[in-house]
Parts: sequence; structure tokens; C-alpha cells
Amino acid sequence: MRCVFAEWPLLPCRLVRSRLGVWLGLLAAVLWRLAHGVSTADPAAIAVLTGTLAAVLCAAALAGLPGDRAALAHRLLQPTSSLAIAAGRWLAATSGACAVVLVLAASLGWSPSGTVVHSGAIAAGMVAAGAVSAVVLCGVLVGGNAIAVLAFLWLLLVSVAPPEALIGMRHHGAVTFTGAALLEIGPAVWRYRGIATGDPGAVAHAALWIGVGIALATWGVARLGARRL
Amino acid sequence: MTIPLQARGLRRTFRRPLWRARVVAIAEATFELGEGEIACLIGPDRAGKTTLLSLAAGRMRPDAGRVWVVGIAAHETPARRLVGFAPQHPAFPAGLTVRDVVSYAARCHAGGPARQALVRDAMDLAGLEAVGRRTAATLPLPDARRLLLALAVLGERRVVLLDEPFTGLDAVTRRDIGERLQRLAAAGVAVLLSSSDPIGLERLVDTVLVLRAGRLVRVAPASALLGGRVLEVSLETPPVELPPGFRMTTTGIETDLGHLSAEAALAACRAHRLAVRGSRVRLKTLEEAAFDAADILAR
Repeated sequence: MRCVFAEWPLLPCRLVRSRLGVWLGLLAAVLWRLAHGVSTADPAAIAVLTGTLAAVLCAAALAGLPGDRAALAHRLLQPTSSLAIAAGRWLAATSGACAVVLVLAASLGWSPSGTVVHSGAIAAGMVAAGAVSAVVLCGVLVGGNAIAVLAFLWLLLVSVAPPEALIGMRHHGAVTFTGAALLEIGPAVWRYRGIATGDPGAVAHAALWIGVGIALATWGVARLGARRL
Repeated sequence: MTIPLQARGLRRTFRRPLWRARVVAIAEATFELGEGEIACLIGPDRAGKTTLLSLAAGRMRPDAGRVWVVGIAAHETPARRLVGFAPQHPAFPAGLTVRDVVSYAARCHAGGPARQALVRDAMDLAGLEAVGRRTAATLPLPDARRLLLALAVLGERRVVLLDEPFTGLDAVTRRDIGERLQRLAAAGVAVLLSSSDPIGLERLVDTVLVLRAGRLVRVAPASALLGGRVLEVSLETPPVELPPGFRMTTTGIETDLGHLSAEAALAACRAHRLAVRGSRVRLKTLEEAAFDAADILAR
């Protein structure tokens, strides 16, 4: 466990010494403005969107930079393991995203329908952050930050709608069908909103992606670590 | 007493694409390193030095043979606490200072005050105090090499492997790092360093391992390899014909004396009517000894 927690200090370093802090601040500000400007905004959707987008930014900043990917082979020369590195980076990325969710929740003070909805929305945002950071982590380890950009756009523009919305379009073909399949299978905002109301399927879906994501990230770390030094 | 590093019958090949024959990186290597011993792995580029170090560090598994670090198989996790490896090419996480990088690595070894002590000791041994607040990823090569050394000596390392630690360094830094390695060896740590350019390592190393085309062709104490004498003769005019056993140099001719006396060799020069301006006897350099051992000059 010490080797897992050994990865966490990367997060404060990146928050202070890279643009990660600025990007997370901008994200929180935009979503705060959105929540205030749209009277019908769903607190759960805002929390999940915040958690997922912040998770993408944190995962990209913690593992997607070319220098960081090259340094993984050096990291494995210390008494640690690929699994510990993957789990540690996931923990760091998730905790960064969860902090953004908490800050936004505190600044918005969502409680029009009582404490249950409030805490449920926060929980949904945090669980969604965990699932997305695991998936994006393995993505950036394999393909670099280009994968993070695609994931950010996908989560922001597409994943807010359920797959039925794509299937129901008048002109649908292979692209819309593939998109709908990805929305159904992969981490998505529309699905994790349900966590706020206690949907066990959504929780299980997120837990599955956390496990699969960390396993694939472990493979990604081992692959980068085996590079010639 | 357990031997810090032991390698027996190592062989390692690499696959090439499109069903081509496998490349043999290490054909046969057997050696061991004692406590406090500094050994130098010498060989030309692509001789297999980095592969051999990677096998010793447990980064790679050999196709045949075994490596033990203090009696533990090198690829097992506990061995990684005991063996440190400084690769040739530096790569550090972006945005971290030198102290952050050492502290980040030390977290895998210990926590709390013990970790602080590890960081302090490693930075002190590598001579990094002056650059502790600088960003690691943008360090100049000499400081980056020191940082790699600090990461390699962290914790309770009994064996330290250094891949080309002097490449690209100025003479002052080479000497300084050499002295730090001697201090490390004096504490009982076995040091194995590789070099494709062994100039100036004579004073540092106890043992020389000569690697040629993936095969360890010579493992010998440096004193045995460097014991040979060379007679250098500078000439007024270029020779028409070389005396037997002599070879040309930029300033004249030279020969390995072996059991011959300098006077006898000079007499051979006079017999060939060479205009001798001056002469001196010197000991063989590590580079020459390595060339002899690998039989490269003969080729």
C-alpha cells in the first residue's frame, strides 16, 4: 500500500506547478455558471459532469505527458510494481476530481430538495470520477494525451444523452449505432446520474470499469516500463 | 557471507519482426561481484552492456542462466530493494524538482522521518544539494547523471549498476562522480558500471569485464590487465620499415614490452636506422587492455 500512496504526491505537484490547477479551476467556474444560469439544471448531472471531466484532466496530467510516460521505466527501477503505480495514479486522479466535485457542491449549495439529493449527487460525481479516471488512465498510458482530448469531448458532448437518443435519430447508420453501443457499454454521464437516486446497476457499472481500467492501466505501465532504457 | 551479485550462464535473445532469426544480445556471461568491489563492463556499442545490466537489475529475464542479488533471484521484488540501476538516458517526471524526484522515489523505500533521512543521504552522496530546488526534467547532463546516481543508491542498496555514468561528462565531474562511487564502495556496496569509453577509469575500478558481441571474453582484476608496459618512441622522420612488434602512432611508434627490456626494444629501433627523438615507458591504459582482451586490434 505504501507504493500505492507513493504516487499521490504527484497530484499536488501538478496542481501547483502545471496548468492542471488552472484547468480544474476553469472547469469548476464554467460548470458553476452553468448550474446558476440554467434553472432546470439537474444537480446530479452537473456533479457527474464535473467529476468525469475533472477526472479526464487529472488522469491526463498525471500519466499522459510524454515525460511522465518515459519516466515510468525509471519508476519501475524502485521497489514498486506496475499495479501499485496504476492504482496510485488512479487514486491521485480520482481524489483530484473528487475535490473539484466537493468544491463545486460547496459553492453551489445544492439543496432544493433536501440533503438526500445533495449527498447523492456528490456521491454520483465521485463514483463517476473513479470510473472515468480508471478508463482514461489506461487510455493515456497507451495513446498519450490525444486520448484524453477525445475522452473529454465525448463525455462533454455525447455521453450526456442516453443511447436511445442516438438510436432514435432519423438518419442513423453504423456511426450512430457504434456511438450508441459505446454509450451503453462505456462510462457515460447519463448512466452515472442514476447513482444519485441509488441505481445499483450504475454503481456496479462504475465499479466494473474501475476494475477493468486499473487492470488495463497496469498492463500499460508494464508495457511502458519494459521499454529500453 | 552472501555474494552481492552473481550471474551464471546468462543468455538473452531478442525477437525480430517478420520471422527473422532472433538477435543474440548476450550469448554467455558468468561473473560475480564482491562486497565493496567496483567493476567496469567494457565493450564497444551494441556489445550487450545495457542488456547485461538490465538482466542484473532484474528488468529482464534471461532465456537461460540465473542472476542472484544477495542470494535472491534478481527478478523477484525483494531484490529490487537491494539493487539500484542508473540508466544511461535520464527521464524524470515533468514539473518535479530534484528533491521532489528523490523524495518521490524514496516513498517506495520508507515513510516518515526514515524517508527524509534516505533523501538527505542520497542527495549528499550524489552531490545534489546545490540543485535541490531545480526542475529535474530540465537539468543539464552532469546534474541529471548525479540525480540518476542518487535514485540508484536510495535505501539499502547492496549492488549499484550504472549504465555509461561518465558519458558526456567533463573531466572534473567524471573525477567527482568517481570519488563518490569509491565512497559508496567503501561502505560495502558492489558497483558495476558500463562504459564504451573507458579512458580515465584505471584509478577507479577493481575488476574489468570485457564484453564482445554478447560474450564476456575476459573477467580479470584491473591490476592484471593494466600491468603491461608500453614503450613509446617519438621519431624525427617517419619510418620506412617498422621493427617487429611495433605499431604506428600519431607521434611515432610504440610496442608492448612484455618481458622485453626498453633498451632491447630501442636497440631494435636503432638496428632499423630510425631517427629516435625520445622515448618513454608507460603502463597500459584500460582502453588498450580492453582492446587486447577483446582482440579488436588484431581485427
